[in-house]
Amino acid sequence: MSERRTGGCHCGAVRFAVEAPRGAPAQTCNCSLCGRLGYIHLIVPESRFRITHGEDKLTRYTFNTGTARHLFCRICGVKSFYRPRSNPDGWSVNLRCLDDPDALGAEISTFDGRNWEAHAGELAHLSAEGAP
Amino acid sequence: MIYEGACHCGAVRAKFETASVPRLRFDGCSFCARHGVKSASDAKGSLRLDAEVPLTRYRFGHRTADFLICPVCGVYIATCMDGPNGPVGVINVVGLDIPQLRDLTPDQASFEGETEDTRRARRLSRWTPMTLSEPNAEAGAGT
Repeated sequence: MSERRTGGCHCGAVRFAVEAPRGAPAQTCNCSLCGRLGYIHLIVPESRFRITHGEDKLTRYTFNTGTARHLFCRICGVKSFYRPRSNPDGWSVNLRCLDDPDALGAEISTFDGRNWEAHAGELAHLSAEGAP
Repeated sequence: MIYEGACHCGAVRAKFETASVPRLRFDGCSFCARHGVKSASDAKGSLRLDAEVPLTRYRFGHRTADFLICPVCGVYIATCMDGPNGPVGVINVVGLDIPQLRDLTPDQASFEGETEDTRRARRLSRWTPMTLSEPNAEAGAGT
């Protein structure tokens, strides 16, 4: 069963709420951006994510195809969540930014973002509404 | 040995020179945990940061150092503060994607409970003498 979980950036300007079940799948990624951020993906459908504070404090960054909308807090730089290219109909939350990452008990696997085209399909189902 | 890296968009480049084998640190604080940081410094080395845009400076806790963030791509680059002989700093080898260092396992450290004076003394004894070049800002750690 999905539970409501909260999180945010370091300075507190940006806050979010996400619903995810205990043991949800999460992914590290070795692409040029995620690698630099140590980003850990928790991908959820649109209906299970909400920005609760500080949307006006977000800076948007795009590169390559421009499909992904990378968002970070303009005060402390932390990327709490974004619209991923693999799941443009959903959201990716940074596991590191949950208030209590350990309580999620995420099953963390590795995603080969350096060979994105060959592997992106493995993530597509994670943003489908009705996913567990 | 000279280690070079840059943020994701390339607006900030770093050159870290040290004669020692760098030991990486992860201090487990709430900032470093969110940014996935591994830090490196050498008080006997040198560090040069070149930024094409004025950097975002973030302060928290004792507010005695500037955490430098690329305003374009959000990558946390380095932290710096002014010392008696000029600015000193510590780099994030993950954010700068330094190939020889980014995948090494860091030593766990904890600086919780340090007083402001102890913290400043520790930094001065470990951090790297540095220069920072950025538009619309004088070279140095700034405020």
